[in-house]
Amino acid sequence: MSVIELDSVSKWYGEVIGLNNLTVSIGHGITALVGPNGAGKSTLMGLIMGQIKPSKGDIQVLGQRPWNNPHVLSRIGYCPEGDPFWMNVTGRQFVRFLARLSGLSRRAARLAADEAIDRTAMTGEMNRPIGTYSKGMRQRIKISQALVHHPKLLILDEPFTGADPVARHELATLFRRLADEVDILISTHVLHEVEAMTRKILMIARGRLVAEGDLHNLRRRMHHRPHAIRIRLDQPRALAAQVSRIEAVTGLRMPEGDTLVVETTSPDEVYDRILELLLEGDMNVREIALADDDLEAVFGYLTDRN
Amino acid sequence: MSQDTHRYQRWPGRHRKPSTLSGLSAIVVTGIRLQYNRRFVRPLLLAGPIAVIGICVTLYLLSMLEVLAGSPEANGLYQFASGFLGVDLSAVSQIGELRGVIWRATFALVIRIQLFAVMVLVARIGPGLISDDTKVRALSIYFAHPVNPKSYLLGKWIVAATFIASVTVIPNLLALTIGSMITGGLPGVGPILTLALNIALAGLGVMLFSGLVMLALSSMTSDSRYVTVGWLAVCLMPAMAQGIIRENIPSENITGWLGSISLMGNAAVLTEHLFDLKSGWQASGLPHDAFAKALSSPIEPFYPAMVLGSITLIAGTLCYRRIVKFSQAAAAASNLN
Amino acid sequence: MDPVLSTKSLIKRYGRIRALDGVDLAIEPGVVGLLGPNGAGKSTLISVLLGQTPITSGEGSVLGFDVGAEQPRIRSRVGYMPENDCLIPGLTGTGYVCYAGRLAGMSFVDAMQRTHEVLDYVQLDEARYRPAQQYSAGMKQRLKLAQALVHDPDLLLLDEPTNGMDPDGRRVMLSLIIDLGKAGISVLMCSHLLPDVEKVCDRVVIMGGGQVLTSGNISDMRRPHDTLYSVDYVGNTETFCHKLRQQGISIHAQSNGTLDVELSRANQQNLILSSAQLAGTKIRGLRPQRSSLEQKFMAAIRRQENGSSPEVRSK
Repeated sequence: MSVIELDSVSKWYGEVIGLNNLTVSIGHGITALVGPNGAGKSTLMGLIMGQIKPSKGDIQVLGQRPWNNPHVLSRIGYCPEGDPFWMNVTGRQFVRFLARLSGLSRRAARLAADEAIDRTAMTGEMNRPIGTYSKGMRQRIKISQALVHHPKLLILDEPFTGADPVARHELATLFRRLADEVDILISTHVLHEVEAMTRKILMIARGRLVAEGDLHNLRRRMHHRPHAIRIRLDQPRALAAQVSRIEAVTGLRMPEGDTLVVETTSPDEVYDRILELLLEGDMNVREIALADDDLEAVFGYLTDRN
Repeated sequence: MSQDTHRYQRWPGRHRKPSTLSGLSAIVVTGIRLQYNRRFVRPLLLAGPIAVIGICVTLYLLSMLEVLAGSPEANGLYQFASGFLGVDLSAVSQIGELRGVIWRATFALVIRIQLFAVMVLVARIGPGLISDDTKVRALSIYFAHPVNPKSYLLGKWIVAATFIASVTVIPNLLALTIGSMITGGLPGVGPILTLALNIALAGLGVMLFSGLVMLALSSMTSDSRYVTVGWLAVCLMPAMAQGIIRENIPSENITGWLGSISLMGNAAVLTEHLFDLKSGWQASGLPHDAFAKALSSPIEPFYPAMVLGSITLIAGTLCYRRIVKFSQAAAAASNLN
Repeated sequence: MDPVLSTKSLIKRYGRIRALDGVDLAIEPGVVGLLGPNGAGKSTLISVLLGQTPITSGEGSVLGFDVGAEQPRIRSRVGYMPENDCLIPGLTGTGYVCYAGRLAGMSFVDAMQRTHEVLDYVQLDEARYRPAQQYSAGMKQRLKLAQALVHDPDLLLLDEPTNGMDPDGRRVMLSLIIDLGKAGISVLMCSHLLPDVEKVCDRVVIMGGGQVLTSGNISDMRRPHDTLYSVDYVGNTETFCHKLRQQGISIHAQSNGTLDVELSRANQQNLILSSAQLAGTKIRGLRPQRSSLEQKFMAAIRRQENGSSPEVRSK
């Protein structure tokens, strides 16, 4: 069962497009929402949290329509971008206060706050003012705040912005751990971090769905693009001579002394042939991979206007 | 030779020795352009040309009055002037001999009126001078270039001073020149030069006080709206306080510091002394008490000068110290929350 | 080659806090990444190099000029791109870059000519005549780079040049930085985004607690492993693993379609290919594992935390 279900949802702000005809379903685990600035990521998150009413289409979050529906909102934890603005209250007070706001009694709020703080490993620092926290700690206390009412779905808006490598590492580890208990939707620019956390991608650009699903499959599904297989080995010319006889090969390049790049429109077939050739010729291959199947390259292909 | 714009091209030009003068002129020119493009600034600058026309017309009318002196047509004008000043002017018959005094009084009055224009204009052009830079943390741009705090502040002050001068000193001097040409001027070069010098001195005082107080306010917060509010408070609150004091304390007790609270009032006292209106009045042969009634309260110039001077000094020190502090951590400040 | 910047036991104290605690650096021309967690002293170091922050003790020089005494000369030969927006309200893109050129001491005509050249270079087209505050995040970032380049500096200090940018904008910015390095401009780039640093920098300096923890060439730090490989495949995992083990290959980790394996000797990669053939598994990628900059970074920080950290000493 999917956590979020969008059925041809569109949203316009007057003449300005927010989202255009988006049909997608988001499942369990960590899903990364990526897209260039102004792609409609904030609109999508607003729609999911029921803060924005769709101009057209239907949304189901945790089985219900979110618009103006406190019942859905009470099962979503949201962690906005930017710093928490109370710098002189302690992390514990901050989370307790927000627990009270979400409708818990004083006693329950205390218990829930301490538990939520424990889940983000902030117990050691919870009695210090937020102003003394590092970027990573601030992010973690914000996540505690979002977890305090035991949501089923956690929405994180650009959690990595401005965080240093240590904080990034801590956060990615934390998210992977939390994903066992709660489904997470993360919007982010930093594709490198996405790859470390999840392979489930939801990519939007200019208000439209560009791609969704597993990262590796995304690249493979883009058949209209020629694929380039990069092979590093000791005798690239010997291999090149043999590879050139394969029909599906459309181009050969040798950008560096030990590298051969094979362009093709049917990578599966060519891959298998190359592997056979390597074994037959007993060539010592050092590296073989699609020239660009990392998320950054996929993103570049998919959002390119040309 | 074709140039590939996608490859970086080194600049073949000559690098000049770093001088603060180039940076200073850039700050001044860019600052004036930015503030000039603000809303309402151009209409406010009309106060300049209006002053020129107003002064010239007044000087011309006064010269007409001299010609008409003694004739029945002049009576109406005399009566009007008497009502305006609250003094019986019929004793003065040789008005032509008093041209110097009257011109000085005219300019003193005009400068007082212009203070209001300065107040409003500075409230428009001043608040953003420094606060716009601190709001977006652009000071790190200035202090990554050969700009030091002194040249930064001097540049910003020249921007404010230029605007103030364009509604005070410049129109006044222009009107003095034109007025002298159409009416024949004052007898001798000395009095005209003295008058011009006094006008310039008064203008400089206004530029120093308004400019530095505004820069100090502007350096204290990064939200220019607070600066506007603060500036208007600085201008108007003392005057209101002075008004309340005048209501409740007999006027003969209001002397010294107690009478030097209102900044506008202080400026008025100082211009009176600068333009030497008192001796001029005595030369006219009019009674002394009429002078006090018509123009001013009997405050010694020392107190107003001290009040305005020390405020200017404090403001100058304050904004200089702020800018030095900013400049020393301009790059590091970005990460210090 | 003469170092573009060097420091000797540089110390900067703010009261009891040591922002810089004995920094020794000698950076040669090239593109250098300056890394470190928040509070490591990177920003203070940049401020010192620009001659903004007076140092407590030690010495430093930039392009051969002393940071204390020859600050105007340094500033006229260094371009600085700050982290935050710093776009003066009301200026157009052209006006802003030209202003920076004038502040650096160029004449108006020179500054204007150079402004258009560098704006062409950073690919700001008609937008250059619009108020800069209306720009998108990526355009603002490129404008800030143009502003730092207008006086043709010999050294560029870039503070988080790719922070908050989307992947497209980041790609453009990184390619500009690579090109600047090729054009002979030395670059010192502070960044939290280690993959970006890996892409553009020749060398890195890692700071922590006001000290230089380690420094070195990126290529040395990222040398590929001889015996550790990652294998992407399509097919049955069980049989593939079985065949690999039969060939004496140990399996360290497996996740959805990827195996991390270790060969018993170097240059035996064909064993992996033949195992796959025997198991009927299709290999879709074979990559030697590299130690990443992130691993180096984390190791350096951890070593510092375990050792005597300057914060502890100052108490």
